[in-house]
Amino acid sequence: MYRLLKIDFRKYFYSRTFWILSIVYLTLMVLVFFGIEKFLNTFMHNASKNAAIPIPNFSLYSFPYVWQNMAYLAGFFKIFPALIILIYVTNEFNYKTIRQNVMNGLSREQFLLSKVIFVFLYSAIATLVLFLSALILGLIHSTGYQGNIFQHAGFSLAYFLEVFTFSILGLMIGFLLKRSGLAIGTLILYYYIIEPVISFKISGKISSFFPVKSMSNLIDVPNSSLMKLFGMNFRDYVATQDVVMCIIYSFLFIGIVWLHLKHSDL
Amino acid sequence: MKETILSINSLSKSYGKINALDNLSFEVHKGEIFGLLGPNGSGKTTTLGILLGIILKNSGNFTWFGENPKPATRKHIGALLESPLFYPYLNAINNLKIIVDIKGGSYSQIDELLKLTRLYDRRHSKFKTFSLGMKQRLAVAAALINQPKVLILDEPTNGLDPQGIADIRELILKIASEGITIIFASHILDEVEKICNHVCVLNKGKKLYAGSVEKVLHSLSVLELGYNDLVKLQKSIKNFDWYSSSTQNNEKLIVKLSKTVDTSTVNKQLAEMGIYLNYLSLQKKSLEKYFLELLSDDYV
Repeated sequence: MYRLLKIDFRKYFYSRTFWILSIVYLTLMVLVFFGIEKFLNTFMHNASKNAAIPIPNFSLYSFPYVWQNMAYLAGFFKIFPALIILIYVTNEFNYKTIRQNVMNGLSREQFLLSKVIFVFLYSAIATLVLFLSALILGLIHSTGYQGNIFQHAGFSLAYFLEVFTFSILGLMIGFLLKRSGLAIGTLILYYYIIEPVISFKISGKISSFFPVKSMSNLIDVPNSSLMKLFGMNFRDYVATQDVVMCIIYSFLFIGIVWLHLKHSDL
Repeated sequence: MKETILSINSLSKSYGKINALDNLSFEVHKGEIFGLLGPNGSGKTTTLGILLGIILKNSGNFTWFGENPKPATRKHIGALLESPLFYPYLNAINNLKIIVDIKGGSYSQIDELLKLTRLYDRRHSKFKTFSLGMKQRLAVAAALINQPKVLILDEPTNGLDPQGIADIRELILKIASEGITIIFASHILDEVEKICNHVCVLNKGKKLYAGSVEKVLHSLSVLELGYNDLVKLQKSIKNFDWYSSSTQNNEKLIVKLSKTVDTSTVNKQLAEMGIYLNYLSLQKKSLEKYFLELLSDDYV
């Protein structure tokens, strides 16, 4: 395990692309965490100048709601880690270094495992950034809060599962399509267009079992006072169905790649 | 009997309808420099790909070091393929470190290998900045990590300039002198002749011949002799050990050989019999001609 991690680590650590994408991903996400409340309030304030009822200010950072609010926001950025893993998988085919790795004694399974370990660790780091951001924002904005500040902190774990499963989807597309442009196009097309369109056409009951839907559903839209005003009520917990589906999809995608690698020439 | 390093038993591989390898069998023994000779598309790279675990066989089997191949077996094999495979954005050291991490072993050998391949001064340069010759030399360094028991070379001199070819050739012979078994694929007869002592000739995925280079090469050369009395000449040479058969053509005697012989020996032998040749030449058939002949012959 450690050896596989070490092998893969070197492939990313000295790669400029990896650092650029990672820094863009994590700083963008943190900037949005820290700026979103002010942005929303200024926006709503301007929009509601002439409204009959005054729209209450958003308060996104108070415990325990900060956990779900930030985890939900973080979900919009999950395309970054998926693209990173996808690019580094297709690179191995592009440079034919997967051949070199296997020739030198790595089994196909070990090669796949080294990438899965990377996805796991990268998701963990993204989750840690989310966790620390939410904790700091909560502490700054919740002076005098008496309850358990870690209540609902479990949303961070749900985010971990969301990023992990989505990145494994990227990994699978990378392994199956091998060419970076094609793979990136397919992932983006599937994520933003194909699945949403199919979900829209069929019943919500069935589409809630779809991969991207299951991942996005892990962390539901946070209930704000504004939403309540419109009579909407979203889940403030993580549903078992989504957790189970994400775990199933992760195993399924890894299994598909494993079978594919086992039966194909490199 | 020498220790068997590699044993291949009716190995077959097809891509759709095309048989890339058809029932191939041969053995490689310890210390041999084994040439895999054949024109492009004859199945050399497919064979090596299967032996290195990157291409899946359809049927047949092979053993490395007397054992069924496992991924870890390949840690004892160094391979140098037609195009060097490295991470373009990593420098020479990191590219080699990845291989050391895969094969196990110590990083301390890297400096030495880079010095051996004259890349030490460029060790911090990214692979993508290397010339083809340097890339190929880095591949040699990579293949030598952990002192492999076997070295596999697939057309390693393709695309190199004469200096690069000489470098690689010298390295191969140096490595071979250390007792490492070498399997060498090439479509260049001359190269195989200069380097190898055993050979397997492939065409269209089929084995045409396997054995010592001596035997293949003598069947590849003919002597052309000129003398004013060809009938007398023919009679005189019949008892030499290198004589196999002869025909007359264009006032010359074309002699097929049963073993390799150099022209000075022939000249001396005939002069001792009082026959002074007016023409003497050793002609090597081109590989293409040789394959045509093998295909039509009962060698198959």
